[in-house]
Amino acid sequence: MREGESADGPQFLERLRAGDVRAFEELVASHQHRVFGVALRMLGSAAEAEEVAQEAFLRAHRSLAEFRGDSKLSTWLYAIVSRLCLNRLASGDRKAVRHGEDILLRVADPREDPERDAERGELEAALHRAIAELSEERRVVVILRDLEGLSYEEIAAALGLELGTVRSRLHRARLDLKEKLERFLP
Amino acid sequence: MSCQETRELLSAWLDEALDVRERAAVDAHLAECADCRRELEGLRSTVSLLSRVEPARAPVGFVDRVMAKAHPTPWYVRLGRVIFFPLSFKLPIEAGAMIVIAVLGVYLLQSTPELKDAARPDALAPAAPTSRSEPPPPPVPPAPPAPASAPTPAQPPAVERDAELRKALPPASGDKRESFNVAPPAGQAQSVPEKRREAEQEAAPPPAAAPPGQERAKAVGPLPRTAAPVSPESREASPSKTDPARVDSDRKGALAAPSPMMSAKQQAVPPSVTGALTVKDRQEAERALDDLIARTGAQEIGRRQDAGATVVDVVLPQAAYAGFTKDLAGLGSLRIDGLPAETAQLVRLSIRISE
Repeated sequence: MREGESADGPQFLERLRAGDVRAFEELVASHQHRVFGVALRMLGSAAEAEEVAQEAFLRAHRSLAEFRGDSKLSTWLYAIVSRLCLNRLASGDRKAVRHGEDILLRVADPREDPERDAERGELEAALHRAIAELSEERRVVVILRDLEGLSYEEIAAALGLELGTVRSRLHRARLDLKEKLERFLP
Repeated sequence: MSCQETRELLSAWLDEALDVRERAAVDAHLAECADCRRELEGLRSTVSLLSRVEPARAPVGFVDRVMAKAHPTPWYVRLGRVIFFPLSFKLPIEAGAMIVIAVLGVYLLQSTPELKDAARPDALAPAAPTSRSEPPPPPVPPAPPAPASAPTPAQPPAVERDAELRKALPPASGDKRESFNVAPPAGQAQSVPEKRREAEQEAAPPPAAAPPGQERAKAVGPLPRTAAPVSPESREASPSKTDPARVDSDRKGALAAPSPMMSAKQQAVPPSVTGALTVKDRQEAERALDDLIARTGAQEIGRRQDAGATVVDVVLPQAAYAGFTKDLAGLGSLRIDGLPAETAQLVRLSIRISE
């Protein structure tokens, strides 16, 4: 982004729509971790997550001219990657659905510190396992809300759901997590 | 509001996603229901645990890969990269060119002996001797200054002169060589080549002037022409020897340059005995002394004029000393100072002849 230019500002959007390569590169650089993170939590595989995340940006690149700016760019990107993940999970066209995928999730984090992992390893593993064991509909909602910080309205817009559905799925997902993580709760 | 209805809204209550009416209803129920409050705290703790999940990070190079797919490189650019950049890493072309030039330079220098020789710092210096162990050729000594009078005949080599001296001096014991080898220790260790070198050094041009303090020490050295025993016939054949001017000239030559005739053994013999011979006719006495020297096998090693007297230095074997002094006393009034050392095989006698 240029100086004085916000991520969702009209000038930046104009550059994106105009096919400015530099603007698109900035968009990818500023949103890569979040888009990749959603795909990783949803799919559990770093390789699949990168594949889906790349596809999400490529679809965004092809659809930039159609982006009206009604929502934030980040919400739009979350919507794309979430639907791609749900579609992939629903199609069953996955190269491998691995048990214990949480190991891959941990390895995918380059900031992994062995000592720190030893301290929080059990909780971390339990968290990843609990998220991975959620149903896909609930998992995507809890990821977007509790890990990525989207609002209910943004989640509803991204996933094309009613606001009540989002509230209900999120509550169910938290109850499931509460039950799975009960031994870590005070 | 029942507990069931309340608990359905607890997550939204935590996220502040309820409208005012719903929030008020939930708050009223929570104020009266401890179970629902515990349920709310459980959900709050669960959400707090989820916030501890580390955010994921995209792998390195993700942006480049996305951009490469979003903006594929034209085929001709990719072909050029394959041809010119076959390596998997990008090497700056300037650095690559420098490396190639450096490698080529070293290769050419190593493979071309001419270039290697030209690069040596001493290439411009004159050609060095083929072997360092080989000594440089000795400098050609300049010819010694010719005497003002008749030319001096060519001197025999030092070794030959030494041999002549050995023949001339009778041995003190049975072995002639042994009589010389037991001479003062300074000259014992010298070999024939050393003597030759010494003789060559002595034949070298002398310094322009000798310090006065060295004059006497050099004056006692033998004169060239007196190295060999001189027969009376030869003395007569060269009358200029008795010429005072000639003698003076020779003395100057002896002062100017060490005589090659004086061997190290002779130089090492100290003047142990001095004699004062008073005669009526000094020239007659000198001739008689020459005869005595030739007869007894002694060797004259120096002769000079000194304040109206003639000083003659001779070296003779210890065995011949007694007879020599006896005959010398017959020439005039002789006064001997000092005694020859009993252990010395040679005696150096300085005779001062005066009228």
